[in-house]
Amino acid sequence: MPAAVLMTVLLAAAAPADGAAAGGLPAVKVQDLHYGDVLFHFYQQEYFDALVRLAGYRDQGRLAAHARDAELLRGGLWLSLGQHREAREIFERLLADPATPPPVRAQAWFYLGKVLYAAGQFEESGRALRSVTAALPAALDPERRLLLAQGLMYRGRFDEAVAELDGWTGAPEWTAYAQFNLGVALVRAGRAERGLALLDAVGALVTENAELIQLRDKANVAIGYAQLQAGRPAAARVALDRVQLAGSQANKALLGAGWADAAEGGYRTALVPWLELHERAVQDGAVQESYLAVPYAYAELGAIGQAVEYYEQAIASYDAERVRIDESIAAIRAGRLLRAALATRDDGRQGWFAQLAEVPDSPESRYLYHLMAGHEFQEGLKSYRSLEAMSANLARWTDNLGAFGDMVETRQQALATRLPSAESRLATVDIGTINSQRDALRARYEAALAGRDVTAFATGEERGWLDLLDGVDAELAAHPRDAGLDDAREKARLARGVLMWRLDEAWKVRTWQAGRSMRELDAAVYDARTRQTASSRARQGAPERNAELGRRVDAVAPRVASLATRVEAAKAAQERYLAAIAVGELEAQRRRLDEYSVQARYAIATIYDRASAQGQGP
Amino acid sequence: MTLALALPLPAAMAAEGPAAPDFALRSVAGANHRLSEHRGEVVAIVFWASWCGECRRELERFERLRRTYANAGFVVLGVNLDKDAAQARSIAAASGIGYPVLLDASKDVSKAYDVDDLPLVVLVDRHGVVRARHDALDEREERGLLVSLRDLIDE
Amino acid sequence: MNGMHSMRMTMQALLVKALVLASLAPALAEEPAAPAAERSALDAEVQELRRQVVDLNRDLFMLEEDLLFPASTQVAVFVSMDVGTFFALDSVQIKVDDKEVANYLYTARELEALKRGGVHRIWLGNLKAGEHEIVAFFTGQGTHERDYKRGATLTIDKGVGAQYVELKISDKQRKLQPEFVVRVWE
Repeated sequence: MPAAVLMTVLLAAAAPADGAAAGGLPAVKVQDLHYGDVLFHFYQQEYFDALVRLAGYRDQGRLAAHARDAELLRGGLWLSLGQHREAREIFERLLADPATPPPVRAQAWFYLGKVLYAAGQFEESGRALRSVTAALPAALDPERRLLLAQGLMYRGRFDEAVAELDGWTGAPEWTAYAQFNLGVALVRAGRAERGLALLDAVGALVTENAELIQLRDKANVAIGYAQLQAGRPAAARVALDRVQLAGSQANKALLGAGWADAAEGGYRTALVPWLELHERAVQDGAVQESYLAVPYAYAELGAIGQAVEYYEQAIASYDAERVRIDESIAAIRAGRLLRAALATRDDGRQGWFAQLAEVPDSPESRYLYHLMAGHEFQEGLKSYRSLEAMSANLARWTDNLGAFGDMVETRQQALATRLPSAESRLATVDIGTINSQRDALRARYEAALAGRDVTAFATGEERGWLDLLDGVDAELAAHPRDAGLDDAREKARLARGVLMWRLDEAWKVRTWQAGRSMRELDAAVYDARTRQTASSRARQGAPERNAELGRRVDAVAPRVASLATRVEAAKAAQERYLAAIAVGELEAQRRRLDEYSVQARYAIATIYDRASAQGQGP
Repeated sequence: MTLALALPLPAAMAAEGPAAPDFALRSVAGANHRLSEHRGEVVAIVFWASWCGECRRELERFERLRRTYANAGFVVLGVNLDKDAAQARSIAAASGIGYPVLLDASKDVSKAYDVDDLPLVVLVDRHGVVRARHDALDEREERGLLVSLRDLIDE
Repeated sequence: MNGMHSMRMTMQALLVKALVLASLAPALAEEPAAPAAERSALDAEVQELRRQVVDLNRDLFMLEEDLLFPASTQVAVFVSMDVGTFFALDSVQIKVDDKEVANYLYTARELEALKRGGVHRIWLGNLKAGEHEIVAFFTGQGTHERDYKRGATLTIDKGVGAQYVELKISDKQRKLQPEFVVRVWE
């Protein structure tokens, strides 16, 4: 199964809306940013980080605008981490909500189907997968069909499975797997003809894709052996010849090719692939069998001497291998397994084994190449790696929490020393007084406006003149009947007139300026007031907030510690489990060697018997 | 430079314990490489410079190791400390290296990793934790390095 | 002769049978194996642990943010991309009040994530209430220019709540010439 195209198009329907669309005004959706943050990690396949952030932002209410898309993503992320129960709950909840839009609904059905399939519940899985509507993104459809077909297959409903595949001209990346699995199942169920037809479709694939090439090899090997068993060596040879000489299936193909030749009496031809096989690494089962096949061919060709020699060599090799297997088993039992679980990468590639020759191998490592191919071991190893990652994660947080605790304490001390002085400083700021002064000023301003009191906006200089004029007027008023002062009176009247006219002219500008100044004053007072409120609030809340944070730190620390302990215990248990599988596999290999040994001995004995019966020596 | 945590922390909170400080540097080929993108793989960080005579041998040794173990998930990153990238480029080209050679002219990364003598090789496991440091180059250390490396890959 | 012949047949039959079984068994690529009793318990434990670790990490993630970047002082800067033509973003630098707070090199993988709609939280920090100047630059390579560089300056007025700044690299205004489009949210 190709690494699932995990939700690459899951979000096709859920991409953050382009906020700047409508008439240049940005649609103010803060949630876009945080959802985008989650996506940033998701698109880099950092599923754990994405899920943690998604869960966190969701709890903080930062994803409201993307609620359902976020839920779908959350379900998919749980699924990608192998958490079927959590994933299932989310998808079921989405489906139960009538307001869920069709595209999301379709995907929820699909992923629910996938979860159920992985849990082996094929009946329900099929129902879910069939509930998917046309709203499903096209890229997910091939996988849906694959899961449907294989679900039917596992329920023994082969004809329906085949019907699902019929006429499906989807991408070979998906169809090939379905054809292969179904082909093998049919052959095993005794329906060889149909099965072989499907396998042949895979066996004849033209492709550059490395994974498909592997699958093609497997298909051809399967065809080869099925044809051999059915007594059709020529057909077997055709399929086996398609297998790569340097791939993981090469050994099986060489062995089978030899048997195909042997079945037609072509023992000399059979020796070609078998002798090639004979030179390869003896840990491989096909190679071990070639140790018997080669002398068998020689015996058939009458080369008794060589036959016996090879049989004896076989026995010696088997003995030696059995010793090494025992060493491996002992090493594993002594707890050295995971050193020996040579790290194939998580995608199961084993190609690097060819380079092992350059590096001295350890007793444990030799056989595990085969072990690694096992599905059960692979799954178990994945779990182990997962536990290791959890362990590292918790260790990191343990360190951080120590630092957090220090921070909380430091802040507490800082607040204790700094707060009192901050208090006293803030106390000197009397917002009340400032406010009343401002109010008074505003009242005067408005009164001046209303009464059109032009003198209210006189400049200093003008005020000086006004005062001077007032003084002159007062003097003049003191001598009302002095005619000598008439001239002065006239001048004073004119001067005042000019001044007033000037003030009047300036009225508009000055009132506007004063108005603006009033507004600026208002703003400044408002600012000061809010700052004071904020800092007073902060001041009041700070010790409490800090204490609350301290409580949260204290509360979470034991959770981390107890989880860490449980994880360590689970790791140990998982290691024991893997060791058990490994030992089981190795013991099976040893049994096979035992059987081969017996056959070799029997063959030699038979040869000697016959020779002595005929009076001939080897 | 951010640390291997979700948020960038102030320097005072630098990771205790052996978490490998995360970094991103430009390579001589022009692409940017970030250490944390290799989580899941075993990484060998080889610190070197043009003025260190023995470094070249180390660079070449790690090219051989890289070829042997690449399929098992082994990655090598060379970090060069020269002020002038041209030196790094020519030496890397001459050594036939297939792994990225990253430029740390400002020495931020080497400081984070406490690099004193060159060459220095730091081995980081699949979960981003520093597991071994090897500086000297004598035979014993070489074998030790190989053992550490194989252990990490085998995990 | 008969003995030899029959031995031959037996051996052949035996070998071929063993082979076919051996080869077809592992040939089935996909098999959700029926869980054995022991494996179930182990699996269930691993699943439960993983769930708890995720939940715990969520709580710790939020605790860390509340502790280090409380809402009253929190400011976050995000980088996003909306570029129609080819543009290889190389790095983004952010300065706040004339102090460099971020200098981020983008890898090929991150670039891909941005192009698909991911948003990168490049900086999370604390600022006092009031005005602050943010200067941002991005460098990269477009289809024609080498080392294309553009910048933006903005002044934010930090209030009492968390504030978010989005720096979107966009070529919507002028094709082939991406620039910063700035949006600020409280």
